[in-house]
Amino acid sequence: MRVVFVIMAMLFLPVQAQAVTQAEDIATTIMLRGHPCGGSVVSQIQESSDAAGNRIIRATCPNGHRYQVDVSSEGRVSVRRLN
Amino acid sequence: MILAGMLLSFSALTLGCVKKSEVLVSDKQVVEQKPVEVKEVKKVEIVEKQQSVTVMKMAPDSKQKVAPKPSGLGLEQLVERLKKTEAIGFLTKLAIRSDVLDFKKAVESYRKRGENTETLRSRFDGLVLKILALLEHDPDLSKDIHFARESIWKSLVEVKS
Repeated sequence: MRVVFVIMAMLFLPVQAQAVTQAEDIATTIMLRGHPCGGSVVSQIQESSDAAGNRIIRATCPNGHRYQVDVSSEGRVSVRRLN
Repeated sequence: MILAGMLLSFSALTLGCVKKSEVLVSDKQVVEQKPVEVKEVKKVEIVEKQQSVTVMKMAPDSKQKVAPKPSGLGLEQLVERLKKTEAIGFLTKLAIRSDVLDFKKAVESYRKRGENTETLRSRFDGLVLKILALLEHDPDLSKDIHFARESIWKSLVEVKS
């Protein structure tokens, strides 16, 4: 009886937003900029930042393409393919 | 003679059996046909009932679809909710922000030059569609942005022009 109640409660619970992982976030950003990724999660993530406050993220998509995501100190995001 | 009599009696019996069986078969046919007709009538009645039920069910749904939901949400509130939502990651939010800033620049140039609003509108629709697609895991915010689309467009283009 309890199990049925729990299942019913889960079914009728409102859908809440789920937190996105960094790998998913980077993949979404790459695809948002019009680049093919072949999946929703990237791998081999490398992060670095320079003295000016610009952030550089490098990641590999499931289709084998490696991309560099540049985030400027003003918050502008641009993506370019490395290989 | 005895054999002839036996044959005659046997043939008579067989004929009688055949007749009885025919009669039985005909009785069965008569008996079987009646319920089939009744079933068909019942089926027709059931189909009619189902149709009436479906019509009764469809009516309130169609009314709900026709009536649009009032948005009741301002642009600032939606932006705040976009900032707070966990359905979109930080980098994606930044990417959307830069897209929105680019669009604002395009709107400003439209105001200065008086360009055609059709291209601007299609760009706006594309941007909204992008955001709605990203908000797959936050359906409430997605719904609110969808309903507030026209008011956002008017606030961007018509108010300050």
